Amino acid sequence: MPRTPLAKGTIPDGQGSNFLLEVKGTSELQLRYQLRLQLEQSRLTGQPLWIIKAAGQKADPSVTRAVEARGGGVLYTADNGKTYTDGDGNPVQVQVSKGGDQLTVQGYKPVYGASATGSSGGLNSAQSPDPNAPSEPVNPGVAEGTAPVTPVAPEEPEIPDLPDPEVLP
Amino acid sequence: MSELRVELFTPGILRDQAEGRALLDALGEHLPYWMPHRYGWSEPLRNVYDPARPEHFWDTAHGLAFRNAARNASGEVDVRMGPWDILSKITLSGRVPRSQLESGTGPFLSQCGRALDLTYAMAHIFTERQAADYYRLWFETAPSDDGTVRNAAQGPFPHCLRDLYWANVFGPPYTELFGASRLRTAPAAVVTELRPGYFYLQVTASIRDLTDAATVPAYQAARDAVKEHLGPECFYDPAAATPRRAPAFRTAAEEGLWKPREGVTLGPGVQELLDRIANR
Repeated sequence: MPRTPLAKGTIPDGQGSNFLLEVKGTSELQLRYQLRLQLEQSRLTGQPLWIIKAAGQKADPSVTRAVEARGGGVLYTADNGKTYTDGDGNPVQVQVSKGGDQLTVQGYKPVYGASATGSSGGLNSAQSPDPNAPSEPVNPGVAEGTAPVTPVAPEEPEIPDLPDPEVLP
Repeated sequence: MSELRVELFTPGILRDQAEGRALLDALGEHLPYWMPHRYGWSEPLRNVYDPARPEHFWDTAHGLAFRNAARNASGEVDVRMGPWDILSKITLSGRVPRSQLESGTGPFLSQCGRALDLTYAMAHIFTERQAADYYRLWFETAPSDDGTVRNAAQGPFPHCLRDLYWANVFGPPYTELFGASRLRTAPAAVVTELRPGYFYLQVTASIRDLTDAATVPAYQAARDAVKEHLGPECFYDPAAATPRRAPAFRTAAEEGLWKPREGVTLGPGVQELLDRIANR
């Protein structure tokens, strides 16, 4: 039976002819259900999704990369909401047209962020500190017949760090 | 901290269960440390991978995210569902045991090249700074930003490749671009014609050449020699005065994979794209 990820709905905090907008106050912003749905809307319409967050509340890199892949980004407020920066602290100019239909964002630079894996955060890291913890399936009906699985035994990763100079040109 | 990164690009929409099984088979055989443990559509990733039910895992209609049991590697499937999209993308990245890194990376990529309809694929080790550069170039290789989300959706592919990486798979569009004979004679450590139209190129014998200061210069020289042989104008060069060369890709809208939904406000440029398609 397929998973049914689109059962619930959401409305972005703002929408115009060239943007979708979501304002988030959560301190640990992750790629949860509501944002996934809004990204789906962004993908299907070609409208970039912009997320506004308070300065000092970093979004998870997976969120930043997902919205940037659709032409949007995560904007951090500064000066009590009077100005904005991107994830690297670069100033970003944000203007809304008179009728609120058009959003212009200038100076935003896509940010890779910290590693999406390992201890620096990333997919699901805050929710599931124990990789062996029992799962809560999305669709309980599907999970009822699920046999328990044995996770791969964690091993010590051994990728050596690269030396300088950098390999990329 | 360095990480191994593998990216697979395909013109397909990755709905076929055989594609999911092919990916899982290749992972299980060559990079088992990266086998999915948790997976789902949004965080938290609530599903636990069950080898007996790969079809429950490979439900990619709206995208798929997963991570390994050790929580230090993750994967993502991003299907070309937007109007501007030209390729679907499977991304795998994270830490990996040395033994699998050395013996599994190349075979994993080449097995994917045999089993999946890949346009292009790469595997490479990046430091965090290199990963950031690699990411940045996705957005910055386009000659100009036309105000649409096209650049973000298409990345460098309409213009060039970002670089030649340690391991590479070139599918039919790139085989046509470079020429099969040029690919066959590339001065790379490994050149394998996986099947007609699909080539695997590995710059040096060992991926560890990227991680040893003593071998990096030799790696760079080998990489540059292969790029020179294939056609340096097909790769990103910030100092280049001449236009780059790339295959001609078609958007999901042009291929009929995406259609506007009634009552939906379309983003900048999308209606013009539709008008262009209608007027052909």
